[in-house]
Amino acid sequence: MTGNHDSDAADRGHEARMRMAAGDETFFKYYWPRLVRYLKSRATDTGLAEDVASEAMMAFLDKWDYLLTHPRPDSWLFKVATRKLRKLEVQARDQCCLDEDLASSVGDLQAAAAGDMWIEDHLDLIAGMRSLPSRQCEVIGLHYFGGYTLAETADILDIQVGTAKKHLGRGLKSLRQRQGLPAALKTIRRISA
Amino acid sequence: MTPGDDKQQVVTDLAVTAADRALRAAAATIGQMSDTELQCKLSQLKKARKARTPREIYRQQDELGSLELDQAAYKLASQAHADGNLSEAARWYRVGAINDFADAPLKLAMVLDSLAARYLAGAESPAATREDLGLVTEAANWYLAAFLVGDLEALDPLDSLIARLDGQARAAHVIATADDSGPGRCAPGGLQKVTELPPAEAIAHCRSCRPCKAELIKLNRLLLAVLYDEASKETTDASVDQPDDNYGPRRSLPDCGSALHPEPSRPGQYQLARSPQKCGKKG
Repeated sequence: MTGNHDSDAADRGHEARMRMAAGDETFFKYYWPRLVRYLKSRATDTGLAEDVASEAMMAFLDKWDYLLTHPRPDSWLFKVATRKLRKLEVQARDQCCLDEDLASSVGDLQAAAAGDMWIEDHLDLIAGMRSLPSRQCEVIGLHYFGGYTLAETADILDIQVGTAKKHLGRGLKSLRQRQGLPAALKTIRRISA
Repeated sequence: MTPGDDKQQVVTDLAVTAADRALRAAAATIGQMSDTELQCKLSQLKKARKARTPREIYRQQDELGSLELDQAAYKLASQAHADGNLSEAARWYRVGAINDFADAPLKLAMVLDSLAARYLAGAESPAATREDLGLVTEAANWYLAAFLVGDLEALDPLDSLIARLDGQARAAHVIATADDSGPGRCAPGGLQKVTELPPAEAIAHCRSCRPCKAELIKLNRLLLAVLYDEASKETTDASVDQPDDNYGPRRSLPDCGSALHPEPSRPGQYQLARSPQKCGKKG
């Protein structure tokens, strides 16, 4: 970890604490859309993602005083939400009450798009992300949607930076393949053939 | 690197760049949400928070604490693994793996794999072989779970484990067959007659009589199959929550070859991994 990264992380932690100092409404307005949309792009079930986001935010409000002095309160929020979602998904799968077949996934995505304009605008992308293995999806979601560096992402997911990098590379590659190749790539393929 | 590889690399790089661009475009607008919607959600959240009973608050705090426990268990497991205490490492990695914590599923699979290799190195008896079979099965399940959440490193060991398990299953079959037609016959006339002897005498006889041992193994398998069937039916009928321990009914995995379904030697030992992909998972 470089000194630069440390200072950047400290700055972002400071920003998050300043938002907290401005009041719970300011904090909520900034982080809620990012959190709930990150979870929706990662989860199989939109309802579950919303529940997890609400519970994580509630837990954050419960721990407000403690988190005011936390180095990265925003990372804490995403870490708790990610772990909660994983745990609930494991439990739901154990009880076979998580519909993950193609028809259910498409239906759930359509419902999510109907309730959120941002998802509707990026439907292909979210569909592609949901089809990725969960670790790849989490790394991509935290890195791009959460705005975290790879080191911060690795810290949130309790993995090594190298592993996070590997997941990111694989995820991006599969994401594009799953979304369909753009015209330029198709041309290159044709020339190669 | 051949020209073909170069072209493939260009295609891959462009694909990654295109995905990167699409993600950046989505990230640029992720914070946009109508003020009304945000206010509504915040007031709902505050109302729900206020309406909680003390019991619900304790439950939520407890859940939050349990998330920390996974991390603590993972640290303990890593320490035990570094110290070479594989059984202890498996125990603690399992705690994290059940909740899909970090790379605990992969680590658990690796530890179980090493444990199986250790058993295999000293395996002379059919019992040791069965023990190894169980460890290999569980390791394979956790490798599969790790692979399905994105740890592609789990694929090679999974393949080799499946191959090894097939070999082990064949070896176990040969041993069982040899036991059936082994040298000598049971002097009292089989297990049925032996059960009529006084218990101490029957136990002593079974310890030294190979045909009786073979019959006991078969009966044990039959008994376990019946018990598992009943347990599964009860669970399905009652639709109750399963306790989070190692004694739940076995679950079926996606098609990974017959090697993943060997006969167990005791209930719960070979319970399939709580794989996130059990009920038909995304790719």
